[in-house]
Amino acid sequence: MTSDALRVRDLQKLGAGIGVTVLDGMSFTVPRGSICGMVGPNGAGKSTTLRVVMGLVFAKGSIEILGAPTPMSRATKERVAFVPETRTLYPFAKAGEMIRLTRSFYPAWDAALERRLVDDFAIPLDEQCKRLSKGMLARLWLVLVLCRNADLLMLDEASDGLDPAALDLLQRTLIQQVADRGATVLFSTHQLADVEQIADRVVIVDRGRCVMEGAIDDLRQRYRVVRCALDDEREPAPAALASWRRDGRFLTGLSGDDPSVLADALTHAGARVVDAQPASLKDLFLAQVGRLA
Amino acid sequence: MTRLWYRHWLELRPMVTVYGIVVAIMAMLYPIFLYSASEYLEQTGRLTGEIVALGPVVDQIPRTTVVPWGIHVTFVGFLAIFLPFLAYGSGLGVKNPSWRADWQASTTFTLSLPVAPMEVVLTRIIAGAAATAFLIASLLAANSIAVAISGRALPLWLMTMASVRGIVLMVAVVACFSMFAVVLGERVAATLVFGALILGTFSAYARSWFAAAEHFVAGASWGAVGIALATAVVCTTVAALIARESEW
Repeated sequence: MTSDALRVRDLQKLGAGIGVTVLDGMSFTVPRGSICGMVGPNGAGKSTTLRVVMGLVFAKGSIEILGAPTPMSRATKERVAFVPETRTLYPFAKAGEMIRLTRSFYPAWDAALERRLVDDFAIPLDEQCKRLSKGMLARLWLVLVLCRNADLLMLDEASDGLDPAALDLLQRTLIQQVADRGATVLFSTHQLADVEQIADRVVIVDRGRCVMEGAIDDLRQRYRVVRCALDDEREPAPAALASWRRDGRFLTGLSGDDPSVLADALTHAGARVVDAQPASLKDLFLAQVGRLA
Repeated sequence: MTRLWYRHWLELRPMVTVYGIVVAIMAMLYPIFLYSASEYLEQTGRLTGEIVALGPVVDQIPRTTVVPWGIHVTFVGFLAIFLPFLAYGSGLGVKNPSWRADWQASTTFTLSLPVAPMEVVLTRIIAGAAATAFLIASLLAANSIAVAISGRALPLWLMTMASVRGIVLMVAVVACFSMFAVVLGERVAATLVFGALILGTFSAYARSWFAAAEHFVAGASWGAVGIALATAVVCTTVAALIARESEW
């Protein structure tokens, strides 16, 4: 059995317009039992990637889900749960009927969790889906997904429309599913706070590619935000700082190099380190998408 | 598989309910039409225009049973114009949101279940066809009871065969419209179906127009019925195969 719940390799997809690339070599891995946050700016390809993984959209490249190649077999699909960004259901079906329908597809359905979530989320079982508010629809979606006892849960902007109490319940339930059953969670979000709260891994995507991935603690230890001063304002930026912001003689950038190696490289380039701090998740994100604060 | 039928029922239920009411109203109108057309025949020795318009096949029906049969055919022909409108669909329709967008079941949710697009489309078209068949069969049952209660001769076989032809016609149209929904997208399909509905309605009321549905229900040959069935099978197969290769 492979140790990875999801392996995505070199996804390529062109957009509708001429020269528009939606996915440009997207590759990343999500190990089993991890909670992985996928972050990136709008249009980076997060939702498209998840839809490609689910088989809703086609792209070149390879995907392995729970050790099996795509397209997913029925057996694999029974072990995967997906919450899309747009959360509509069957407008004329009642919430209780949606739960009954979904339950019938999943032999491992957790009836006890269903009762608890229906109570905690206050789902109106006799209400038609078209009459539910956006927030209530989001809650219902979570009931339909979390009770499947899936081995891989993929959530696209799942916190959208949830109030703090519901978000807290979602996060606790996800952590519990990982802790109790070894489930794997991959969620996309715009909120770095969501990632910092529950994720142990991060995938940063930009312009259709994964620009950084790994365990959050490892990345924080490895990368530093370095502020350095150039001898001359007109000096070009040292190559050792991959991402940087210039403010007169001062440069700010992110480096994953060993500090002594970096210091040597900067000295060679006519610069000296003024300050170096361990990178926060925000630093990593902003550096990778080219907008370091 | 039962689970998918339940899914289709959840999607079709509101429309089946609406048309169930329509069928119930038609079933109530049938005795009135039956009485007035029979009276007209007894008093004048002539058939009403609606029955005569069904064509030469009317001459092959015994005079004692032509009125109950003719009115039933007219009613089924009327339904043949409207029923496919409610029942068509692929089960995967939000690719191109249309004026039906608020009615449509979420494709993403459906395909997040352990089912294949091809399976959804196949069973959804069959479910739509089954819904129309159920409503026509209900109308047949109600009309037959009305004839029996009135004490007139009941042409059960003729009425049943007309109903079967009506069902076959509607199944073909449902499959054809459903294929449009998959191949052309929901927006284009809805436009085509809406256009067909308007033309069909016009042809039903303007007798100068050729009311093809009624003529088919009244006396289509086995060959024509076979072609309609083949059309249904081809359209369903094409829709399912295209669904398998489509993005959602």
